[in-house]
Amino acid sequence: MKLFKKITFSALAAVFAVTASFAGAASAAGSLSGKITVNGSTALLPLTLQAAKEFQKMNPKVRIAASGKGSVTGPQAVKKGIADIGACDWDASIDVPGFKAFSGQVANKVAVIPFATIVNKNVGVDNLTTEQLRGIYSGKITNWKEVGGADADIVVITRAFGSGTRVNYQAKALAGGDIVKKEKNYKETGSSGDMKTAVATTPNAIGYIDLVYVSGDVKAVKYNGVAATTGNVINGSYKIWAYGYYMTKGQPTGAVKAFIDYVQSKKFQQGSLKKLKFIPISAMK
Amino acid sequence: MKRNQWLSVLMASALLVSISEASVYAAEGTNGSKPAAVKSSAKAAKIKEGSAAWTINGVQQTFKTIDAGGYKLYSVSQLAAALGAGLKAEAGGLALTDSASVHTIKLKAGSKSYSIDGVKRSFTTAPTVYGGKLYVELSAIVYGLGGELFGSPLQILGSARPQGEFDTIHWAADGSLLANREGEATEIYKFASNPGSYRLFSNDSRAADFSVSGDHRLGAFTDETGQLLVIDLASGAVKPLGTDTSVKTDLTWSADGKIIYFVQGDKQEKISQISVDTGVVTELLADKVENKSELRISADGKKAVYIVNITGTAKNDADSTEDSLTVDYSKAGEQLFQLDLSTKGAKPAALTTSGDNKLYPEILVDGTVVYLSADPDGNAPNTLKTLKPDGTFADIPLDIEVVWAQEGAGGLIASGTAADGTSRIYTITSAGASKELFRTTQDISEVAVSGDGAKLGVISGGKLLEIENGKAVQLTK
Repeated sequence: MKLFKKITFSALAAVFAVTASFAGAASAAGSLSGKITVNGSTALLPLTLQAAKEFQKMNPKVRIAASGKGSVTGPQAVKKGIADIGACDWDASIDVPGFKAFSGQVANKVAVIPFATIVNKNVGVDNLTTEQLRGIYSGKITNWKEVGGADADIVVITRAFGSGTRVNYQAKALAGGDIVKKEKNYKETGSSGDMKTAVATTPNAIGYIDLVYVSGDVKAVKYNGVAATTGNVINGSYKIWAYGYYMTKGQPTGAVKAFIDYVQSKKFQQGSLKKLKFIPISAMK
Repeated sequence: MKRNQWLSVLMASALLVSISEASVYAAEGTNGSKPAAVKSSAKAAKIKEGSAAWTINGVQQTFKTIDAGGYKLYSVSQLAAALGAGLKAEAGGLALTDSASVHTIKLKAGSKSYSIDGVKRSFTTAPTVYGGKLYVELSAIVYGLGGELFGSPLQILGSARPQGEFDTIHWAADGSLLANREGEATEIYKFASNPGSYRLFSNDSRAADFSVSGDHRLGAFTDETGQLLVIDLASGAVKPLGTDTSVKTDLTWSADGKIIYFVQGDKQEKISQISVDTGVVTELLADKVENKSELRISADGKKAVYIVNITGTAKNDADSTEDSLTVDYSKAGEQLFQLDLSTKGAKPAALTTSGDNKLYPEILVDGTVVYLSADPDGNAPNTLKTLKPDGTFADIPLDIEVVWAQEGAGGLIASGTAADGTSRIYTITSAGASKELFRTTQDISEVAVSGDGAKLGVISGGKLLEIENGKAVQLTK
């Protein structure tokens, strides 16, 4: 069991057997206190909460309160001063399609997030190309038989405007293509969990989601013949991925900096982050 | 070794007796046989025989010595035997090789020049032949062969303790301690109680941390695919358990070692168990409440206690406009929940509603739940709180600000910092009486309790200590 206290240590001199009354320099326990608020990406929320739990063991007096409402709300909350950290699936300090840069904010890389195209388990298609996906999300392709599947209408599920998953999916999977709102066979969801539920429970549905959320109740399809796996992201063959960021108002300081440092540490990146099925930032060359 | 440690050792072996000349040449067999050739011009009358007692690798031993050049020199054959080093005559001198054949010292009687692993060094006093035996400087030989020595009390380690920053400690069933050495690659070492007695246990990065079974024979961990694996803490062998690859955290063994409980799901929304014998996963709770952690199971397996990290509530309009965004963190924070595992379909019950930080929950034998309570506003010291089965809360009075607690074989163990800045570890009885187990002025970053509760493993300043009866032995440097 780990305490993770801050360390100030003087060598035990020449004596390696010390008794209970050994005298020397005093040291302080984890001295940070206060509240850190994090808002934004729902994809990054499990990572944030796991890191918060571990960071609190180092600093029991620090409260880390987190919430998720889509990536754009991360830098928005930082700008409004209602969160210290904005979790965002893109670098919000620069312009991206659909969103202006949040000036004065600093993007701190915390993870690599792979995304996958998912379909309802009744869909027979196992692979989709960039052009086929652009056709489906622009509304030009409306039936699964047009991409090698059964004769059934395609139900398009997408994340709402402001989602980091949506921003990255458009940029990477659709190569900048549009997601066109339709009158029928179209649904927008507000979170990764809602997306997964919608695709899993809607026959002939297609959607997209963080790879970590893919499980047996939906089917991930290949992209241009390459399976959505962390291995294929790391080896460069699978292109639908993005860095996750913690946005801060200027360079982080104090407890916020200490928390971000912990999330970026080798211990967390190679430990809990991987076990939550994210990819360490150091894995990408 | 630090300079003051060297000085300490040298002071311990220094004498004021001097020798005018030591132009001696000898080669001595490993069995203490007579040298093949001896040329001596030493003024034997000025050499004084003596002896010195050292604890070497934990065993008390007395060495033959002579006083030469103001220093105490030790019988090289006796020293080599005690250290397990090989000793052979070659090229008019001697070669000593450590038991692992890593280091070699080459020296000649009467010559201050010698070499360690081919690198030239110089003795303060040349090796000296007396009474047909060769005597040498102790520290040069011990350190040259990769060992360590300490001046107070006089102790020698045949193998140096590993150096570096260590963390993530666990006790194994054989009484050894496992600890990770920090670095680019994973290095898990296994330490016996005797300093200098250790070996590399595993390089498996997946096993950098694991949950230890009640008998301390197995550790459980998951890899990046979610696959559960079990490591044998004696052999280091790793084998998969089951085939489920969902996200699993907070692995917790049943007391009999037959079940591993865990928080399951990419949103940590379920509590499940896996049979160690069959690998079959069984869902115990799927209440759609996300962000569960710190799962604990009572010794009788009838009760689970866990923490739910309640998130804040963010709201905005359909267009995600900045103006519409609000976030309410007023209810965010950790709350303890309890689940009756003996009743199928039982609903979890909230145990707490307060706004303090809650860490390290434990379930005592009588059903009392203990946890560390910390004030995020920093106005109150961290305390250990108890929640009795009848619903009453109380603080455990301790003279430390608690930073860690764990239920072990010997009872509840807590660590923290006292007002005088010392770090202290206490054991606490079920009646609330506390007894100090260890105190140090150094910071403590990790504590692990041995299977029988008699020993503590502690990480202090990145160094690994073993503590028994209030005495600490530093196993790394």
